[in-house]
Amino acid sequence: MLVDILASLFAGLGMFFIGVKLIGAHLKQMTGRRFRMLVMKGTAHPAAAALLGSLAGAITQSTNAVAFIMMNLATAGLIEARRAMPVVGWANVGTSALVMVATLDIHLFVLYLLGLVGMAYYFNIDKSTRYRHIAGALLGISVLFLGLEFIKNGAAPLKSMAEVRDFLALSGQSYVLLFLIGAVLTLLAQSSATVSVVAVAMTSVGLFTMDQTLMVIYGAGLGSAASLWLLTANLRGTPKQLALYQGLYKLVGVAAMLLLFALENGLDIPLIKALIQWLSNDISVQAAWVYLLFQLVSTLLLGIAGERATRLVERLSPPTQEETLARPQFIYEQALDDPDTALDLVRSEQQRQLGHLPDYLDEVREEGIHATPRPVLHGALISVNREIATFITELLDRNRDRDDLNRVIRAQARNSLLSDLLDSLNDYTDALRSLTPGSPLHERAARLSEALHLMLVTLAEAQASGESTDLDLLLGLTGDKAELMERLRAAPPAHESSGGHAMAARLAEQAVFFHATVLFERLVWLVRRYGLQLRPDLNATPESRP
Amino acid sequence: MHITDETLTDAQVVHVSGRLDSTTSPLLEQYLLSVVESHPRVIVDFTRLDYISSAGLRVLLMAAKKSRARSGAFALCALKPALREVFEISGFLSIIAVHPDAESARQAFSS
Repeated sequence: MLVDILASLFAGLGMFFIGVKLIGAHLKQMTGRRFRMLVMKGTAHPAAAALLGSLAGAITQSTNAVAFIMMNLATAGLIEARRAMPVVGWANVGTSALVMVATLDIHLFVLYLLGLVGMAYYFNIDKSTRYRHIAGALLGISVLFLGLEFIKNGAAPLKSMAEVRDFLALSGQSYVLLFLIGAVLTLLAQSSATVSVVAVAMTSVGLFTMDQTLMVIYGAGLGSAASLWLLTANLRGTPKQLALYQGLYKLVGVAAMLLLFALENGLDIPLIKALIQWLSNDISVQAAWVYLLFQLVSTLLLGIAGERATRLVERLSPPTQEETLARPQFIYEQALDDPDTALDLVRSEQQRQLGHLPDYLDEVREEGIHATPRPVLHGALISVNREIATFITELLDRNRDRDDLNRVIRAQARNSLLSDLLDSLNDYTDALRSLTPGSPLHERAARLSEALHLMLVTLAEAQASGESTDLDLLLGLTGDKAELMERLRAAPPAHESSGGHAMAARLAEQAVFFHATVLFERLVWLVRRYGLQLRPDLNATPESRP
Repeated sequence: MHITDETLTDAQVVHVSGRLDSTTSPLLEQYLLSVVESHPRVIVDFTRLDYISSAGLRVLLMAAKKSRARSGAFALCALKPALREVFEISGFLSIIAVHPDAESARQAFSS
């Protein structure tokens, strides 16, 4: 009998997890771009942010997913982190939707829904670009609720088993144990709503008392904070602020709910339990109300804390200006889940690399600032460039949208050109260092460097502005230089000294200069190629895309 | 660096002397953009200019861009050989007209 029960619970949990994943994956595909645009408008007003956050939480069923979308947008500079914070907070409230719906008796509805979705799949609806995500989300809903039925049916006989009764009696005496179970399960499931729904299901069949359910739900809140903390351990600066805000949200909520629990149980003051009994007679609905109240109390408390909470997370993770050159400032692993924003992040990261290209010439320019030693600069930029390349490759593997695919391929081509630019600039500067300061060839090379510096600055400006006039100027500057370079190599400037030793030195200088002009030609060609790669994206810069 | 300007019948001539580098170019930028704003035909005379850096070249590029946006005419004249080499390497000669002196620039505007 125990084997049957465990199999039923195991299968139910499996179906439940598949359902959660299917719903999230398909709804996100349906709302990705529109949701991002909505976020940018919605965060302008607190009420709109509340609605938006609740909606996002209800759709994704994961506050972490919403937090990561907000981090992407904040990192890309599309919204301010402090404006994204209320959206993340209200997403927690939105996740209550699943917990509340799970208490409804929709057995027949779920069976018919599953039948209908199955028929739709039989008629190849999953091949339709228009309806496949709707069908996928409905399949997810059906499987999720079917899984819940399995869990309820499997768990019901458990309460009559002596061993289970003993365990529950033992754990019922230890609130800490149940609290920790809730936290650990949430860490594994990555969703406090998921764990809470299962706890509510257990309550509905009389396996958990209300006190035990409360502890599991509160523990799940702490587990959710811990899970986001682990996922964002590698982040710093602005995106980390949102993770901290979500952590603070959960911690404040857990602390408040535990305090209310202690007051109600210890001093018999009617609080949460009295309220949920007034709201419903059904014990599973009461448990679902606890989850919602938990989120509302957290939202209320952080709303009261307001600016102080925002300032605290800003102080704990101050925005980084140049944390380190070797660390990507925009791209990060979790951003890959949202291809559209991920491409904006790649563009920002490449823009950052372009901004550093003129710095290579500091050593050989009269006006060079020498802010960072070139080996450090080169090592750091090459390292970031490789990270961008890996990020783009992963984006390419995950992407199925044809429009996005074209943008990804262009981003990849630009990154490859950037890599060549970094290496060629390093070689060019190395070559010029061998020239004798003050010699005529050194002066001519200095003119090459000033021209190259101008082209690199213009390239960075052309990508940043996204204006076709800037790109036209860049392409004008970077026309074919082959004939000019031939002329410069063939007609070395006049030398004052002569003699055997001076002649040898002059020949060595000419060889260096020859090498430098070859590298110069290559660099101009690379800058031009990069500029040409910008052309198709001119009408699709982050600022102008619909 | 020293800047003066001269009004001809159908063009404004800006004379720049000394060194045009990152220290002095903001001054020329302010001056030149304001001249381009108020005059449709502008000639920059470099007879007495000894040195130009990337920052100076960028100012000229911005002025040329602004002039083009306003459908104006913008030209340089009297470049010393070393300066001409920088302009040639930079690719300026395909973007901005360069003349031997102010008079020939003015005539080119009229033709």
